[in-house]
Amino acid sequence: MTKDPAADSTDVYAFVSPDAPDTVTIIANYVPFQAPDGGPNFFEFGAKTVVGTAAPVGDDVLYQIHIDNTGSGIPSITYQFQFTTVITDPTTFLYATGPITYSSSSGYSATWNRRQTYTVTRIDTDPTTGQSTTTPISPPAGSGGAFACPPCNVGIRTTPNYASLSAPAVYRMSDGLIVFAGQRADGFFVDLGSIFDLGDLRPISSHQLVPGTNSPGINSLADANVHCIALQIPISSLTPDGAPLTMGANDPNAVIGVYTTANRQTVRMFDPTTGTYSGTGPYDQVSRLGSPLVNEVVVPMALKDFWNSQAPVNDSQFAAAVEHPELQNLLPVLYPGAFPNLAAYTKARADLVAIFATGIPGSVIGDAFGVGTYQGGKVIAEMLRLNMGIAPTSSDGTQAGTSNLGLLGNDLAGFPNGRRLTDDVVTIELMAVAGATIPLVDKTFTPDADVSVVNQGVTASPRSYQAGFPYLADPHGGFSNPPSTPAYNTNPEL
Amino acid sequence: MPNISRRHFLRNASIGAAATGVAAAGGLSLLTGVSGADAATPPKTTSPEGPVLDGSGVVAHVVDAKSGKISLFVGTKHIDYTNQALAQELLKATK
Repeated sequence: MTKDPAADSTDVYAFVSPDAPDTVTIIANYVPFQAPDGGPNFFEFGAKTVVGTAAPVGDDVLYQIHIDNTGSGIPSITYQFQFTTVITDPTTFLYATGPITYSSSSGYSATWNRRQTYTVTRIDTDPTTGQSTTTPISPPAGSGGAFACPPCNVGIRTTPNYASLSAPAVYRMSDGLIVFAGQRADGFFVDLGSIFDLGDLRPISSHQLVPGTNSPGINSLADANVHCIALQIPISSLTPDGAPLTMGANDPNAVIGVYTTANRQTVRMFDPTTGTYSGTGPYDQVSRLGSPLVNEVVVPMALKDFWNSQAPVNDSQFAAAVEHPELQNLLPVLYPGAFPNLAAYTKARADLVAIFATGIPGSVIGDAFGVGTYQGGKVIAEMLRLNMGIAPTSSDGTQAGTSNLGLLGNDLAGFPNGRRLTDDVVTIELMAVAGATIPLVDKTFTPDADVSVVNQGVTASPRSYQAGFPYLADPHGGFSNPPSTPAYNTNPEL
Repeated sequence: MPNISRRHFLRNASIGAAATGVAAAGGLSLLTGVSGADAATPPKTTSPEGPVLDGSGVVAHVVDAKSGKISLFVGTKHIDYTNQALAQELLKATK
C-alpha cells in the first residue's frame, strides 16, 4: 500500500467537535509525506482525469468513511467520495498559468490548470438485512453543482492569500453536514526516524540496547502536507434512531466505530498507445484505517496488504497479533531491565483488544469516570471508537484537566475514545503496550515503573491546526518550504 | 443484442496474457456471446443483471484454463464464469 500513496489511508480522527458539541468531526487523510514544494504536478486524490472536452480517462480511487453505530462490526453509515481531475489547458506544464483567485460569482479563476472536483454520497445500511439506501449529497446552491477542492499551496505567486482559496472549499449543507476535501498541513506528529530505527525513543535513548544520547524527539511531519477528507456530522445523523443523545455518555446509542477505506477497481490496464490507465471491475478495498498504528506496528509486515483488504467484521483472524503483540516482546529486549513485569506477563492482552477491537466497556472505566453502560462491541472489529456523549475538551494544553495523553492522562475526551488531532497517540500506544493499561482489565498486574517515562518526546506543531473546521490548518506553502529555504525563516506561517 | 459466437469473440478479442493472463474485448458483451452449446457449464454470475455496456470494455481473466474458470470484469461488475471450451480456446490463441 505504501507504493500507492493516493489510496494510502494515513490517519483517521474522530472527535466531538469542540466548537459544535452536538456534532462529530471525522477526518480521513491520504497521500502522505507531501513535500510542499513537490511540483510541477503537486498532489491530489486518486481520480479519473478530464483533459479539455475529452472523456475522463485513468483509474480512480473510491474513498469511504464508515460508521458502525450498532456494535455489529458492520458499518451502518458510509460516506463515499469520488474525485475528478480537470486539466483545463492541455498545452502547458504549469499547475497554474497565473495567480489563482476565487470569486463567489465565478469560482476559482481560469488560471488554475489542474484542479479537482468530487461527489459525496451517503449510504445507510441495515447491518442485519444488508439492505441499503443511497443518497447523493449535493453542494449548496450557488456552488456550481460540484464540490471543489482548493488548490495545493504552491507558493505566494501562484496561490496568494491562500486562506481566501481554502475557505470557499468548506461546504455547509442545510442539514448541518459540513464537508471539506483537499490539501492541509499534516497534524500527525511522530518521530519516525527514531521509532523505526529499532524502536529507539530519543528521550530515553541512553537506555536503549544500542544506546544513544537522550534528546527531544523530532517531528518527522512538521513541514509535511497531506490530503484530507473532513466531515462534520450532527450526532443525530449518526445514531441508529436518528435522534440526539439524551443520556450523555450513558446513552445506549452513544458509541460509534469509525474506519476509512480506499478502494480501487480489480483490474488496472495500461494502454501504451495512449499512455493512459483504465479501471474495470468492482471497487475492491485496498486500504483501511481505524485506530492509529495498528497496521504499522501490530499487523505483521507480510500480512499488511491482506489486512488492508479485509472488513473489520472479520478481524478475529488477526486477534492473536493484538492479544500477544510483537512490540510487547520487543520492549524488554530493546530496553534491558526496564520492563521485567511486562516481560513476565504472558496472558492475552484483553486491554489492547478492548482499545483496538471492541471499545473499552464502560464497566472497566466507569468506576473512575462514571461511564458505565457501554458493553463493548459484539465482535472483534478494529475501528476507532468514540463515545459521542463525552463532552469535548481541548488537548492542546489550554484547558485545565485535559491531556494529550487522553485516557492515560485522565482525559476521557481523547484517544482511545476517538482521536483528537493533538492527541499523542504514539506515546499513548507505546505506554499501553508497555503495560500501562493492563490494570484496567487485570488488577493483579503492576506496570513497570519505567512505563511512566516511555515517551516519543515530540510535541504537536501549532502551525498544523486551526480552531474551526476542518481543524487542520492550511497547507505549508511550496515556496516557503523546506525549512532550509530563507523564506521559511522569515515567513514561517506559510 | 447480437449473438456473438465464441469464435467471433476470439476474433475481436485482444489477448493480453497466457492461460492465467488477461484477455480484453473492447465493447463486446461476452456473456451474450456465449451460447448454451458453447458453455461447458452454465454461467455462474455474482450479479443478477447482465453486464453493462459502458464503453470500458470487458476483461476476461482465465483463472484456471483446465477447469475453465474465468473471471469477467465489465464496468464495476465481476462475474465468475466457467467454460472449459472457451478457456481452452483462449489458451490456444496465446500459443
